[in-house]
Amino acid sequence: MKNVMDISIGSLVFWMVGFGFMFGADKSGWIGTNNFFLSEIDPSTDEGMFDFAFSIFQTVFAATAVTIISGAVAEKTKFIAYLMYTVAVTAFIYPVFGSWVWGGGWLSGLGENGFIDFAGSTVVHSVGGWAALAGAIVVGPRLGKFAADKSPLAIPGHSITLAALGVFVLWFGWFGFNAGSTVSGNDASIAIIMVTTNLAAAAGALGALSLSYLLWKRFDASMTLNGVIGGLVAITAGTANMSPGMAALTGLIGGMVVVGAVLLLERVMKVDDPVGAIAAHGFAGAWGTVAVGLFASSAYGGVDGLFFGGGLAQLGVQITGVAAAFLFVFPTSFIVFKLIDMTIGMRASDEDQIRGLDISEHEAAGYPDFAPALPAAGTSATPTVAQGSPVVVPSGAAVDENVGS
Amino acid sequence: MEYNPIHLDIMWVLFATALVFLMQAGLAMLEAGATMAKTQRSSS
Repeated sequence: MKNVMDISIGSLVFWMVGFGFMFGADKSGWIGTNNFFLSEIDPSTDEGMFDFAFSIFQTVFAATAVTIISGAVAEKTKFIAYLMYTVAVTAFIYPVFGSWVWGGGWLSGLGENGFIDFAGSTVVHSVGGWAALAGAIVVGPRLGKFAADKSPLAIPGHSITLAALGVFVLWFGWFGFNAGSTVSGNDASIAIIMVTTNLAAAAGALGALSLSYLLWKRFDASMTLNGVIGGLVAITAGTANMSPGMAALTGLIGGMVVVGAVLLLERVMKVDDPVGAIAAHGFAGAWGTVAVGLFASSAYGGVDGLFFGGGLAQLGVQITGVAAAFLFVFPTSFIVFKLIDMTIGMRASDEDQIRGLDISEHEAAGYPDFAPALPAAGTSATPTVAQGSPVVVPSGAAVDENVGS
Repeated sequence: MEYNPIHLDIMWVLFATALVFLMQAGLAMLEAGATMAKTQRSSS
């Protein structure tokens, strides 16, 4: 329901106000001011029709940013609260930062080449990730996520098969996300973009797999899925500016960043992110955006990074953009979540979390025929495991079920 | 109708839009799989 509703609400809200804030005429460099309801587009010309195509392309991007948050607040957030912040993010938070980079705002004019975020490592993924961090902090951890001594416990996902299918679908869709961001079929660079995107995803899987093996001596399935997302998120900024080799390196490190960020969030910050969205989108997105300042090479996108003789200038611009994203998105979304929390409440009650949000929010089970079988009355069969008692797992396994969303 | 390069741009952007739309399904399945069986209506 959450993912279905965020594209539904996101589509309507972005059409009404979000697109105007992001791409409307912008004299100040901070926010767009017209084209609400797509009112400025002339439907009688081919150029107008292109603008409609561009608007629907940007709409699905906005929906991608907001859906990232749903992963970090899953299983513990009231449905109505989710709908409310979906409006806030697609109407205001995402479009305002987007206007700074893609709508001709101040970040796009920074330095010689502007802030480079080709398809949105920062604009889409870090923005979603930092908003997700604010949401996860305000809602708090799921019941039973942390033991009394604050050590993280595993709450395993119910289907690694579905999660793997999800990652394959995302990988597939990402070819459109990155290569489509030329917004031109007459731009031959779509070919190199497809190559760098695929290499980074592959290397991201390898990065997460090898780092988690080094740490825990096992081939961790969900961390590897995480790594694919991390690699894809990381290359999204520099996909048109890097050689295939540098793209693979960016993805490899992106996969490792995800593993490190999951550990940082769970062990140090004590933040519960059920699907690992903050690590895979927030942290890997920040890394990928900085990587443009290191690995970009002018043979591809006309800009040189630090390692290709471009000096520190572009790196500084990239870091400025990454910092601006965090400093704008985290506080504003924290305030939005707090306001919702103080008025209608964000967090589902302990009782509702134990029953499951399917029952408490939607009044029907997700898998009605798969209810646990209970022994018939009068038989001697007794459950061997007390229901609801948390199982303490050894260090390392605690993060096993975190998958990026 | 005379050739206009913008027609290829429109085709490409719309094709990419369809791919990115599918990412919603990817995120939904990933999130559903990574959460408990008792939160499936909620998560997907």
